[in-house]
This record gives sequence, C-alpha cells and structure tokens, in this order.
Amino acid sequence: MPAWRVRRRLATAGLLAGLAAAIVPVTVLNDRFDARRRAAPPERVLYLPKGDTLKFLCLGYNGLAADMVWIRSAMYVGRRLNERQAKYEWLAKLFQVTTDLDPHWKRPYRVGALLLSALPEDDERAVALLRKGLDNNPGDWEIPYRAAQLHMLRGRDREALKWLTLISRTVPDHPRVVEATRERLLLDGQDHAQALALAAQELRAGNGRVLDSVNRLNYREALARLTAAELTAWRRRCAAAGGAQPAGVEGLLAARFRPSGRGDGARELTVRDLLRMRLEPLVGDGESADYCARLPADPYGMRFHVRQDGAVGSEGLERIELGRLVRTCNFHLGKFRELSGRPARTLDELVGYWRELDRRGRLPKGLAAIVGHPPRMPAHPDGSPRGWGAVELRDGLLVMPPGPDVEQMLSAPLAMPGATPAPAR
Amino acid sequence: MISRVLALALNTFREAVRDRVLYLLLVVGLAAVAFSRVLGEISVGDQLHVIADTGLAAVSLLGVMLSVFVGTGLIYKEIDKRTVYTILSKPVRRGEFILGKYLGLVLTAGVCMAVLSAGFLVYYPLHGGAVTWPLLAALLFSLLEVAVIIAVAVMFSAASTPILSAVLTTVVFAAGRLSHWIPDFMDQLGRTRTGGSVLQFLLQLLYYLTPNLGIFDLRDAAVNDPGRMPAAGDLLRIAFYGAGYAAAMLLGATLIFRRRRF
Amino acid sequence: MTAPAIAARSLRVVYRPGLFQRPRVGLAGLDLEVAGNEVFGYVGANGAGKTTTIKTLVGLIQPDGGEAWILGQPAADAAARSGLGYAPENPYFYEYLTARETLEFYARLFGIARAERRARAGDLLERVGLAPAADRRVRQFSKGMLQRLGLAQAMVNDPKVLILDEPMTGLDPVGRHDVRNLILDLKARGKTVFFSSHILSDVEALCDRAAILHDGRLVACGRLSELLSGKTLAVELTLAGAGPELERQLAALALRARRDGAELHLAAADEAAADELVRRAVSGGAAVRSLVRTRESLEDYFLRVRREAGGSGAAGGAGEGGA
Repeated sequence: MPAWRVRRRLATAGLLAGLAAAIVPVTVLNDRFDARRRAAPPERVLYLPKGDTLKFLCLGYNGLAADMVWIRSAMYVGRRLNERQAKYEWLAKLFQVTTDLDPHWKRPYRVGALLLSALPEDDERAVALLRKGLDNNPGDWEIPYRAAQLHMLRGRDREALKWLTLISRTVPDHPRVVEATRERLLLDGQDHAQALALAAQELRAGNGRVLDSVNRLNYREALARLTAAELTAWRRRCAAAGGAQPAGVEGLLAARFRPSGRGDGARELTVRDLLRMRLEPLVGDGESADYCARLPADPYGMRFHVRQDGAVGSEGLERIELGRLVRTCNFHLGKFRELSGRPARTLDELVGYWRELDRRGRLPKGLAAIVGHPPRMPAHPDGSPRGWGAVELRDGLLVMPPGPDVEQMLSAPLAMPGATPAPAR
Repeated sequence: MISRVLALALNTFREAVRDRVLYLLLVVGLAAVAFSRVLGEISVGDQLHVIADTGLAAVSLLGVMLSVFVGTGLIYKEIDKRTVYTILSKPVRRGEFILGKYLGLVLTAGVCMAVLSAGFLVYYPLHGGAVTWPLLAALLFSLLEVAVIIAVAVMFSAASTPILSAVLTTVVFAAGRLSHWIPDFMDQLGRTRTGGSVLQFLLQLLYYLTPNLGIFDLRDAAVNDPGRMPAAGDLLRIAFYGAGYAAAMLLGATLIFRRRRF
Repeated sequence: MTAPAIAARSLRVVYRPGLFQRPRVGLAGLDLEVAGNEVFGYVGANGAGKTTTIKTLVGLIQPDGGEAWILGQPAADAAARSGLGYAPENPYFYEYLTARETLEFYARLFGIARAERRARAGDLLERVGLAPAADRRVRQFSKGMLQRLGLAQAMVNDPKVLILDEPMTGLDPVGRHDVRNLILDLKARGKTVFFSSHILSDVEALCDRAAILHDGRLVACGRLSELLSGKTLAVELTLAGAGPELERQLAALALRARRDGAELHLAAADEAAADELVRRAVSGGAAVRSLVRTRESLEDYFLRVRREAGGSGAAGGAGEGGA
C-alpha cells in the first residue's frame, strides 16, 4: 500500500478514536446531570409562568399547551401518590394554568376539583375552580353538578342545594337527576313545601321517565311530611287557642279557623279547606282537592294519626321508616348470629353487639348516624317509647308488625294526572 | 394571463416538492400525531383531546414551517440561480410571476397539509374520535391561515435574502397570532396609564397592520364544544379577510418586484 | 416604413450599489438601431455595458433614462417580448426538469397549445443537437449542453428577433461551429439576430453590422466593411535558408524578425518594403516560403478604437454590472 494511503488510514482511525473518546464524557456527564435533576425537589423543576403569560407564549397553540400542563399535572399527582406525606402545593396552580390555557375544555375543571378536594382536601380551591369553569362554560351542567356533589360529600347540603338550583335555573338541557337530587336535599332539609312543588312539577312535565319513580317517592314523602307538619301546627294552635283538643285527626280536620291575613270579614274555614288552600299552589287545584277529600288517608294508603307526643304523623311513612330500620337491624342481627353461633334473644344483645363494634372502632359511619354514640336502639318511628316492644324478635330476626308491604307502598302508582307511568309500548 | 400564472404555479409546485425539508416536516408531523396517543394515555382519560389537539397543531405548524422554510427561499433561489432570466424575458408580467409563485406555494402547502390531515383523520377515528364538520373546518381554516402567511413570505422574499425573510415572516406570524389580544392590552394600558398616547397609536397601527390570525383558529369548536362554531356567514367573512390581506401582500410584493433589476 | 427590429434612444442606466458607494453609470445615453433580417454584433470589453444593454432590451432592467423598442413596441412592456427570443449568458434552468419539459414549460408561457408545444420542443432539440439528451434531466447537462438549451428556449416562440448574450461562451469548437451555422440559418429564415461576443473573429465572420461599446457609450457602429479600413497593416514574409549575415541585414529593414528553427519570419511595413525584402532575400540565397498581407482585423480596430476613446480596460468601467 502506498505511504499516503497508510497515512490517510491512520488519520481516519485517529479521528474515529477521538470521536469515541468524546462520547464517553458526554454520556457520563449527561447521566450526572440527570441524576442531579432527579434528586432536586420536584418543585424546583416545575416552574410555570402565569396562565396569561403562557397563553401569550403559545402563539395560539393553547390547546396543546393545556394538554401538556395537564399531563404534567397527572405526573405530579402520580408521583406524590406514592409518597407518604405528600404535599400538593402546586396542584391548584397547575389546574389554574391548564384552565387558563383552554377555558372551554371541561374535564380539567371536574377532575381538578375532585383531586383538589380529595388529595390536599382543599375544598375552597376546588369550588373556586368549578366556579371558574361555570363562568367560562355557562351551558355546562356537569361542572356545577360536581360542585354540588362535593358539598354533599362533606355534608354541606345547603350549599349543594344552591348549586343544583343554579343548574335548574340557568343551564338548559340538563338531566333531570338534578331535580331529583334537589327534592331529596329539600326533604332532608325539612323544606317539604318546595320539595313537593318540585316533585309535582317534574311529574307533570313527565321528562326523564327514568326518574319518575324517584319523583313519585319524593312526592309522596313530601306530601306526607308536609301534611303531618301542617296538621301538627294546627293541632298546636287548637291547644293554644284554648278549649278542647279535637278528637283525632278527623276532628282536627273539621276544626274551624279564620285564614290568616284575610281580615275579619272573611269567614272561617275548616282545617281541611285550609290545608287544601295551602297545597293548591304546590300541587295544583285538582290534586289538592282530591287529596284533601280523602284525608285522613295518607299518601301510602294508611292514615294520619295523632302520636303519643302530640304530633300528627303519617302511619305509612312511619311504617316505611320502620321497615328500613328493621332491615338494618336484621342485617346486624345476622352478623351477630354468624359471630356468636346463635340467634339473638333480645334487642339488648343487638345493642351490645353495636357497642362492641364501636369499642373496636368498627362501627360504620352511616350506622353511627342512626344509633348514636354510644350506640343504643334508635327511637321508634311512631314516636312511642314502647314502640320496639311491639316489634317481634323471632328466631333472632325482627319481624315487621302486620300491615301493608313496604315495597308495595313505595311503588304504588300515584293518582295524579301525568304522574302514572306510561303504558309500555 | 391565466395560463401563464398556472404554468408558473405548477412549476413552482414541482420545484417545491423536490425540497427535502418538506418531507422531513411531513414525517415529523406524522410522527407527532402517532406519538400523541402515547401522551394521551398519561392524560387521565382524555386521550382524544390530546390526539385532536396534536393533530390540529401539527397540521398548522407544518403549513407555517413550510411557508417559512420553503416559501422564503423559493423566490431568492430563482434570483440567485438566475432561472428568472429566462422567465422574465418572456411575455410574463412581474405580477404574474409573483402570483404564480404564490399559488404554487399554496398548492404545495395544501397538498402537504392534506396528507398530514388524512393521516390524522384516519388515526383519530381509530381511537374513537368522531370526524365532525367543525374538525374539518378547523383543518381547512388552518390552510387559509397558512395561505395568508405564504403571502407574507412571498412579499418579504421578493425584497430580501432568505434568512431575513424567514425571520421577518416568523415575526409577522407571531405578531399575527397575538394580534387579537392587542385591544385587550390597549384597554389595560388605558386603565393603568393616562399618558402613552404614542404607544396607543403604535399599538393601534400594529393591530391593523399585522394579520389577525386568531380568527382562523377553529380549534375550540372542533375539540371542545361544537356550539362555538362560527356561523357560515362569519366563516365567509373570515375567508374574505384572509383573501384581502393576502392580496395586499401580493400587491406589495409585485410593487417591490417590479423595481428589482436582474 | 417598418419599425426597426431593435431600437434604443438615449438609453441610460445607473447602478446605485449601496448607501455608501458612488453610483456607477452602466449605460450613458445609448442610441442604437438594428434593422430587420440583420445579424448584428455587439462588442465591448468586460464591464463596458453589453449585458446591461441586453438586459434592458429584454426587460430585466428598467432604464433610468431613454427608451428602447422591440419591433416597434416599448421594451418595458411584456407584450413586446412575444416576438422576442433571449438566450442569457450561462443560462440556468430548473434542474429537475428534462430538456423537453423545459422547452414545453417555456412554450406554455407563450400560450402555445399542448400538441404544438410538444412538436416544437422536439423540433428545437433536433436543431440544437440535443435530441439524444431530450429526456435527460437538466442537472446532468454539461456547459455546452446548457448553452444549446439556452438557444433552443430562445427560439421556442419562433421569434422575429433573437438577442443572444455571448452565445459562444464555453462551447467547444464543434459547438461554436454549430452555433455559427444556426445564426446563419436564422438569418436565412428572415430573423434578426443581435448577439454580444468577445470572440471578434466570430463577429467578423457572421455579422452584417457591428457596434463597439466602451464605458457605457457607443464608440463605433456600422457595417463591418465600413468600419474596417482596407489599409494594409503589415506584410509577413517567411524565409528558409537565410544565413546569419542575411538575417541581420533583413532584420534591420523589417518591422519585426523572428527565427523559428530553419525558418525566418519577417514583417514588413507595407508592400514596397516587402518587395525590397524579397529581392534582398532571394539575391541573398534564401528561399521564400510564404508572403501574406494582413489587413486590419476587427480586433485591431477594436483595440485602436479603445485606445482612442481613452483608458485601458482596467480603468473606467468596473466589472459587468447588474449581476
């Protein structure tokens, strides 16, 4: 081989060797930089300008930038979920930036609020995020519904109700579950009149037939509770006005009063009429008249009665509540039987079982709400102190006193125009 | 005139299609769309949103980069390589030359964006996305926006070197994308400072001079909420705005080009 | 009276290279007329303004003063160029097209219909000798091939006037021969050919009329026979077998003397002096091998004119402007 070619080959080899030699420090250093970056607290890595600034910098590719920040948020959360004492300081800011970049992308509001309330338990920021979502997307129902759900989860029913009412009023095309939830919250909040009016409205509109059964339930319950409350109030007025208490509910219904706020010239009306007037604006003339004519029959086919504590109660409602309680008790009686190998003989044994659960810290929250702290037998729905005495314990399980079947009572059709389920096509 | 313009346009298309940068950009675009699915998986259930955003952004960026990298070089290449000598010495008006070049570039960009869009429109339904009219409109208006930017690129490249044209075109593009925020900015300025009327005037000037590119962005309607889709009348108006701006740029380019000596 | 094929009056072109450089005059008031069916040669040193003139005629440059016409139409109008064919010096084409596609593209710019385009392309490629390479891409072409293609595209519209900028540059002797024949052929077909060239022998051989450009001004223009005086410049004598003594004697009488092996070359100032040299040579025992009278060639004329106009080629006009 000629000398010049040899030299050329050597030079090539030298250059290749140099290249290989250069690669080594480059990769090593790169690894070291990477290790240092990983060791640094993540917050330092996560520098985000304000949403508005970033919007500017994206030159119009906001959606993509929002996606990137969102993915970063997911990674942020993911990493922290593995740590014990995780602090989510930047979470709110990440969501803020995401939603600033793409305000009409609705998912970050919902998921963001969920995460903010669940992880750092920052309800305030969660709701603020949802409010921002609603401001930017007025036609969306899911965002305010998530806010209502959040409040309900924390037991803030009144706040939840505000949000749901907002949806009803301002968002067209929302699902009727919003109204159904409102009815339930109103009932739980003792606002029976509004609940009744709403349920009546929903049934009449006949929208969302899927929810008609729920509406019927709520309607009945609202009607029963409202009637009971009204009659109780009238009974107290009778007592306050002096004179004898009318005999039973029939007597009460026949008692006469002057309707308030109509001046002295108005004639007296029976309680039945007054009740009808009260219900008219809520459920309509016909329904109101029908219902009041059938009093003292209650919406469940049983009767209104005067209880031991002097209040008027709906037998049907009380039976339903009793049925629920019996079901709960029977569930725990069954557990008792499993654990102790024999059926319970008295209700005290059941209470003892609950107390044991409580001692061990295993009492379910829902049950604790019913049986209290320390656990004891809940009050009988009909208000009588001896009520549980009438309920038989047979073979270790409670038996409902004789009467109509609770399930049937709940699902019986309502005699209200437009409220009966449409015949199957 | 039309046949000459057409001949020049088709020739420009053939020439632009030879530029390897084009294929590189196309491949990168397709890769980005394909990769977006991976990103989507980390995206907490909104995979479609990421894929859609990436697809639309890729198509738009492809067009913009074509305008800047291929468009600005084309006229300069003709002058530098003296292929203009044999063209402008024919009965071809300078304006026809500019128009032919422009149409050829728009055709090139259109074809490339169409190819990338096709890839995206196949990929997207595979992952469960729906090809809706707003989505197609967003892609179409991306092309219209690119047509405006190409006009800007042609104007700059009729006057200066490729690098300078590329820089200026990019600057105008950025300014155009941010243009619709100038009124807000001016309001803020007006509220915080009473002085600075010169600044206000300059901002106003900037607002009218730069192309308002934000109006071509139909992404929001395509990806988030079809209800935000502008009405047909508004779409037409947007198209007219684009045509008007492009025409102004091309007339400017022609004026500059007529004075050039070869 | 029909308009001249090419006309220019007071044509003025000034180059302004930049803010800090002085403007340079490319053409300083040019008056020119080329009649129909004429071969016109345009001669000048580098930077004299030949290409500037041509570019102005062809529309690539707008003049700063004066006017130009092609076939009676103002050169500034695009329409003027429909009867014009222009072949630039060192032509460039789109590299990825084939020769045939190139010609068809240019034909399209004239609005020629498709079938006709195809026919003409094939025909022209034959005429310039590119038929074997018709479907090869231009980027593979050699310089000579490009030059031929340049000529072909200049003829694509069958123009009445052809303007060729240095058509012989870069061609090998075969190529130059072909181009010469082409120009003569064009003249035979009634075309006007205007070309610029450095190769003065070509101009002398082909042109009916010629013009000499110097520093942007026309310093001579007219029929060749009128420009070149018939004057004898010198007579050249070649002798053989001349001894040193004779050589010395003859060299004293002659303008120049040069020995080349066995032969002695002498140059005499005129015919009379030549006769004297011949007599002395023959009587001195040498043999006459050749006796040639040289007239003033165009090159001689060119150099003379330039000398008279003042300044050598280095001073005055800088390099060919505008490119």
